[in-house]
Amino acid sequence: MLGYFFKRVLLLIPKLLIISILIFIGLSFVPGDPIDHLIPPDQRAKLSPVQLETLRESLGLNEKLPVRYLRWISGVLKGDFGYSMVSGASIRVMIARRLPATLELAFFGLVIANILGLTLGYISSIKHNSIIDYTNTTLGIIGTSVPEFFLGLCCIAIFSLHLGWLPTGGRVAVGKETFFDRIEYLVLPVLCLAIGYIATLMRYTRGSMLDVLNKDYIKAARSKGISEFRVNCNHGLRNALIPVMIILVNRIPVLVSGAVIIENIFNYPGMGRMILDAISCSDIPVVMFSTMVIATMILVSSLLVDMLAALLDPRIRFN
Amino acid sequence: MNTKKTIKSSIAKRNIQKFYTNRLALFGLIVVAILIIMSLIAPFITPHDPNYVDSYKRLQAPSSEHWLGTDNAGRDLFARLVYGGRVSILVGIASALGASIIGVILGCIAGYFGGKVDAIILYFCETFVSFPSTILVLVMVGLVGRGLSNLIIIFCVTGWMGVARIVRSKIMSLREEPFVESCIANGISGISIMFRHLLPNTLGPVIVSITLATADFVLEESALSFLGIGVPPNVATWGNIINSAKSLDIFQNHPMLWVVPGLMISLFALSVNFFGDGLRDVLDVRQ
Repeated sequence: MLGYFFKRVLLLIPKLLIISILIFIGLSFVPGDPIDHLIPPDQRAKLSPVQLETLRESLGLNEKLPVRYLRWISGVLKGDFGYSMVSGASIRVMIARRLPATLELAFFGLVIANILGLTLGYISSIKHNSIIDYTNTTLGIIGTSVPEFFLGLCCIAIFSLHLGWLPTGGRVAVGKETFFDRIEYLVLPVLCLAIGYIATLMRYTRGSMLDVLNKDYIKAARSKGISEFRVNCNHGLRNALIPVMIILVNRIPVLVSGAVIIENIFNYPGMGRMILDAISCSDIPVVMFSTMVIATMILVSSLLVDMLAALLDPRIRFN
Repeated sequence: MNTKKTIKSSIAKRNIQKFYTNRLALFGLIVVAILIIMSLIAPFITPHDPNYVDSYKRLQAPSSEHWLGTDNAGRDLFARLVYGGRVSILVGIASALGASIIGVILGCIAGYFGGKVDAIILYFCETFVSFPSTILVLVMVGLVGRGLSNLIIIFCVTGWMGVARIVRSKIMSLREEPFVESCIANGISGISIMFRHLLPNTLGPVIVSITLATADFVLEESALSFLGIGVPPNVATWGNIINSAKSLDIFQNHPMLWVVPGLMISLFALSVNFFGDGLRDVLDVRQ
């Protein structure tokens, strides 16, 4: 198990390097001069070409691409994440403020999606071809078809503006800091983020359970006189979960993509909004580092789920 | 020859019957067909120009002239919806086809040759999959700029992995079949075996995934246009129409302007998904 774990961790490193190189090359082609965003136009007109050149030099914009990449990556490895080109703020401080917000959103979204998705899928497969099953499957398709941003807008219109139950957006009211003050701000974004995930998980759990329940070892377990519940849970669900785990990993990037949209709608101060804002004003250092943070998050979380799958199914470890 | 034909048609008949009994799939097919035809014959359905600005007719309620009323620039909402469907559906179908072509080619190569080629393609596949598509698209939009064709290209480049995986695993198992051996013995070239003898056997799952991908790309286009980084704002698409709901006045006092396009997107995606699921059952594709 430990050997498998280390092998997987080692495989992460080249992947991260490739992603970072691809993003770096990609971003270096982005049209638009960061200087235009740095200085107001009227002041920029007054600057002489020589002054502009010194500014470029001081920002390191004149170096060749590989040099810039090496400088950036060695900075990151040393813990120096650079500064925003637009606001001049330290990226470390920006991330430290934004990352917990996104993690909180994604974590609760994932937890709720897993609980509901697995339970509903399990019930659907046990009560195969019943009304509950049909309702679940139909709701599942609807859940994957309604765009997240539209769902978010509807939720704001109904629960915040019309009924006034929950705040329209933001993360916490001014002057309040505990987690319980944040809950009411989390409800709608987490729900909107989780719906699509719930639907997917439910469909795959149901399909995978139905596959497993037809296997011979389930019949064998039944014929031994094991109670129906234990057959379904210990023999059925445990085996059915392995393919579902793989779907879970594959969908984590989708969850992050959703978070970008949800954060924008609910005015939630997380990484997604930070990236969108940074892209719209060509703040390349911020885009570069925050996309790397997200890529790392995704790779690490998929590693964790892989570990879980390996725990459930010993065959994966020894393959 | 004659018997072969009858057998073929009886399978087709059985499949069509199977499809008809699945009411949700039939519903999906009909709605998709209606929406596509509506956007194709848009000029015959509505006399209004979707981009004609009439500042005297801002934010009108539905009337016999403007079926769904007008938006904040006095443009006819119904016309914008119908013409917007053209662009949104075009983006969906074109991206799904383009991404599938890339996926099929890479999947074929990976599955047929195996070994190092397979490992490299699979590695790229995994790296692309492990990255959130919205952020990839955001970065690429910054790279190539906003535009309809750019968006389709970006979707193709970022959406091929699913099909590639399906085709690869299918071809890997088919490669062991005796007919491949006989092809090799007959001196048929690798490319011909891959694309003429193996590929047709994988078409079932590919068709299903193209269908389902169409819905995904329509949703993605609308989300990106809503965020203001998809199709340029002067082109009417379903996402761009909702984009106007970002103003608080419209959001609160004229919900029609964003609820109707939102429902259109959901309806289209829903119908495509129902249809795709029905196809999957008919073609008996295992997930």
